[in-house]
Amino acid sequence: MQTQPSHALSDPNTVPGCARRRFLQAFAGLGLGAIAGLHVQPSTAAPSSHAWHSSYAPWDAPGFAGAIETPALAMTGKAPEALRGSFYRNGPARFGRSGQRLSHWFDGDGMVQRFRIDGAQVAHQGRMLDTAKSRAEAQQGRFLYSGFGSQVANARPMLRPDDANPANINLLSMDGGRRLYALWEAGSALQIDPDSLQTLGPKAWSSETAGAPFSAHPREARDGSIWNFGYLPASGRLLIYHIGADGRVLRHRMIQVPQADMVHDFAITERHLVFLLQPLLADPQADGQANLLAAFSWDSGAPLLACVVSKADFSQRWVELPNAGLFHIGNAWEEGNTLRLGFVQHDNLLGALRDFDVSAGHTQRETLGTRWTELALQPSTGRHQVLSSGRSGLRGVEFPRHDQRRTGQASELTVLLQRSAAWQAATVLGFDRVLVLDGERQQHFDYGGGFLVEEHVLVPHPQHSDERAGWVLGTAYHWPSETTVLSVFAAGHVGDGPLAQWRLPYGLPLGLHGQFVAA
Amino acid sequence: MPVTQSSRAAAFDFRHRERTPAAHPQPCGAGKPHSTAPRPSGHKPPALRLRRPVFGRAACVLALCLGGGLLQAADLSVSVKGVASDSGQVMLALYADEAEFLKSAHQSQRTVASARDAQGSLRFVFKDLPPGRYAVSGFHDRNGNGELDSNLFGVPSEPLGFSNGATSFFGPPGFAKAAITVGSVDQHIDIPLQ
Repeated sequence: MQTQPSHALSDPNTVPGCARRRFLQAFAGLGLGAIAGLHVQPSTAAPSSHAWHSSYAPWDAPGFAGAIETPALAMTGKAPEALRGSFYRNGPARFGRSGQRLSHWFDGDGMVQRFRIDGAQVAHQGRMLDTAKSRAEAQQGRFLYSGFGSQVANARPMLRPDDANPANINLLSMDGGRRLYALWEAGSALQIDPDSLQTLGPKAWSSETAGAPFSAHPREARDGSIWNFGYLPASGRLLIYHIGADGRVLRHRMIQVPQADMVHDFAITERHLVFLLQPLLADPQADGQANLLAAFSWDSGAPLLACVVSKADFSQRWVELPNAGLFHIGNAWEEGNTLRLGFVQHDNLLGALRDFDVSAGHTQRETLGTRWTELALQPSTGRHQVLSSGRSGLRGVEFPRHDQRRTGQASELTVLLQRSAAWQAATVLGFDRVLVLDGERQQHFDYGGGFLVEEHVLVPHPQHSDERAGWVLGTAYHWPSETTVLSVFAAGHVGDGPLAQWRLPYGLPLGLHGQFVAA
Repeated sequence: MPVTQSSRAAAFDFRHRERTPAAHPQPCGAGKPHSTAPRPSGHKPPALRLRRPVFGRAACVLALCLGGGLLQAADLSVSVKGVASDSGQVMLALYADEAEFLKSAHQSQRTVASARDAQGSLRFVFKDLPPGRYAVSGFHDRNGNGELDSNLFGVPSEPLGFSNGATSFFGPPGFAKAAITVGSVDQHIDIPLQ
């Protein structure tokens, strides 16, 4: 696979270069105030599928050699002087091969982005991940796996997850950013070079855990050690990892639990791990050549099971919660014998999974059926209390983030994306707003017409412990101009709009999760 | 609250163990005699054990269940396809019902992988099978340890395959999906290794 970086995506005549230049000029002329003031509905002139298709088209174009970079991004506004480090993002990028298309968002081959931020200077690099899957498919000249939700003709059965691992969900940084891993969830982590983004190979944390699933949402404890888990549909088990800051496995343990056929995230507290196990059940006899989504059903009569695992001895205690689904959990912490956590509750998780069809790019549903829910669990009694659920308009939200210095302890800010009321009637799948919860208060910023907003992360200020002294950082894809913008906000004042924005001359594939690694 | 164990957990612990005692089976087709380490006993006791004379080609029958259908017995020949290297051995197991599927082989055979042909295929024959439903599993024991190696979740790390090309996600198919019907006529099936 060619690795030379190139500035050009492909023949400029094949993309609307003139149109793009006009938009960029208009962009530059608008200034921040005008951007903040835009409250335009997503354009109905551009088909809703264009928004998603256009973000992925460059990455299966013949001219794309696998890597791209821009050494200096154009900036508007004033960048915070103390913001220095690399913002990495991961997500699916390649959905086409030899005339075949993958339709499900989760199935595109992974591509990692790096924004290297040094005060006002920002450089971008992007590189496709070099996985066993993409190599085999390049060699065969076709897609070989139907993956999570796509349909590939003459697909190979998904017997070994790592054969079909696109490594496209998230990243894990260790050792001050010297070691970086691209994460999937049903297979191994993939180690990559943090500077060049080149793939180094699948990571075996220990000989016993080699090849086992490693989730996309590891959590770092205060002592720098990493807790994570792995699941495999229809296995009836979870594998728990505790990895030291030096990368060596301290302990691992298989626990047998029900309702563990799709477990995307978990939480840690000072002394416990918390899993929310939803009744999304995989048929173990489903056809291995079809996609995994076809094997799932939802048991609406079953509870959401909170499984509280002791870090000391892996013993489990249970709290039964009302039926609900989820992908993501915010932060969690202990208050005496109570465990507090927040999560994004889905009222139709299976419907949402079926909805992530990027070949259509539109949603069947007008509303994103989610809400921010805060719980207090009492594992010693099995009781719980719903502290809030969808309060103050916290519906249509996703991608919760917290200050990772506070993982497992009481924290104050939660960043969320939201599909605002202005967008609820629109058909484009995605989010238009970034929102910060601060206790009972919240602030938000609407990106406005034509923008699809991606996960925004909380970046701590290097010299201040107050969460509000840091920043909110994230990307948004502007589909009319097919460009991506990186924005930084004061964490305590998101409502004031971005402090600075940097624009790429191209758009990035609409992705999933990212991590900021301080310089 | 009590945790209900998933009934699926057991299925992921499948091991392709040969349950019959070591009888230094002859390799099928060409190849050197292959000596085996002592294997644990614990196979399902057959209704009748028959010692068969060895003919020019190998016959690796270790247990034979005779019923009233002997006159209708047929041969089942199996081509294991996709043996990608000469290392180790290829092991094949025949199961006659769901209860013993992947637990206790009704019959099993093995041969050195180096006996594969130019296309990477190896042929085995189960002779004189009474009519009925059977499933066959095969794997390439690349490191020659006599076991299907797998990770902590039981996901196999060595190539394997089933009759009917049966598959399911991240684990073995059920007996019903893999089962073929043996009647009174000899038949042939392929097992592609994956």
